[in-house]
Amino acid sequence: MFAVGNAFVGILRNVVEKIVNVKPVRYLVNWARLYSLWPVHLTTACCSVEFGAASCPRFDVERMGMIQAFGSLRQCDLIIIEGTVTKKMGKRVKKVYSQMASPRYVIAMGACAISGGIYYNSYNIHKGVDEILPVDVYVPGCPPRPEALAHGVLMLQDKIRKGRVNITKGE
Amino acid sequence: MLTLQKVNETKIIDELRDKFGERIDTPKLLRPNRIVMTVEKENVIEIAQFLKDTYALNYVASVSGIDYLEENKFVVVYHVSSMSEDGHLPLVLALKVPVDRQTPFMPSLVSIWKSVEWHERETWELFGIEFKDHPRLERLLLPEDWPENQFPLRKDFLLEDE
Ligand code: SF4
Repeated sequence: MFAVGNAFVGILRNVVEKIVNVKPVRYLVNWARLYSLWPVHLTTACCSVEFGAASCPRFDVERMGMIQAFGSLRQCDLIIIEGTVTKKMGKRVKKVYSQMASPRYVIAMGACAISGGIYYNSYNIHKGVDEILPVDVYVPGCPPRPEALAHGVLMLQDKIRKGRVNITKGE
Repeated sequence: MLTLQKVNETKIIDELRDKFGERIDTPKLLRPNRIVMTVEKENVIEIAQFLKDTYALNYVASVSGIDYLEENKFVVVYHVSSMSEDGHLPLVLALKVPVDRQTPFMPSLVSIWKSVEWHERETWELFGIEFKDHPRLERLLLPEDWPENQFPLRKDFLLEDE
């Protein structure tokens, strides 16, 4: 019984995915996704200061479609890794990421999140958050200016705009 | 209770010398408002209690370890200051406790100053100095699966690429 049901769901998924990836529909879905990026508020290091500045009126990334950091992980689809990820924090970051609803995107912000930065040979550091999460956009700098983060968000939006809508894998 | 104006470091040093004599090694004034002294780990609890009761030094700002590899010893440094009701006294007293490098342990001071709880945990995990009678000696900054007997802030701990 289950097998039949699963097969049916599988076929249904494939059909829906075909429909969703028809050009105008895909455009609409992606358009909806890329202008409502909800970032997780997860501060791992000093880059978060610039992240805070980016959401404030002076730089205001909200006008580009990235909403201010919000409380609930279930509503979030963007995680910005704000700097150094220690090994202990890495486990928590993974946990946070796996609780977010898909589609979910990752921006690695700052030299530390990209490659370990000034702590590259520390005993307690992930050399880049891409060791544990699939990163979509890297924003270099130490720390990156809010404009750079905004640029990163724009790049991510471009990526979403051009991408396929994938519902089978949930990513 | 002391007040801000009444802090007189030389008087404190003299009083400590009178009371503990040999048991305090060279209490001295490093610069205004900064006293440094070394005590053995056997006496540290008594002296810490005295400091807290007499001079209202009730707040430990930091606990750190120093690794003297050549002299084969660690030194644990407590920076004690005050958050008393008379206002924040400007005096900072550095209480140094040398411990042996082979079997590093000393009594925990949590019973006297609550604020050393996580400082001592940090010193324990990074230097491997055991604090006896600490209520909760668990890892603080290192990941839970950090290997035993590796203490990253010791001088003989090698980082990668070195
Ligand atoms: S990149 Fe620079 S600012 Fe960002 S977390 Fe690392 S050290 Fe801090």
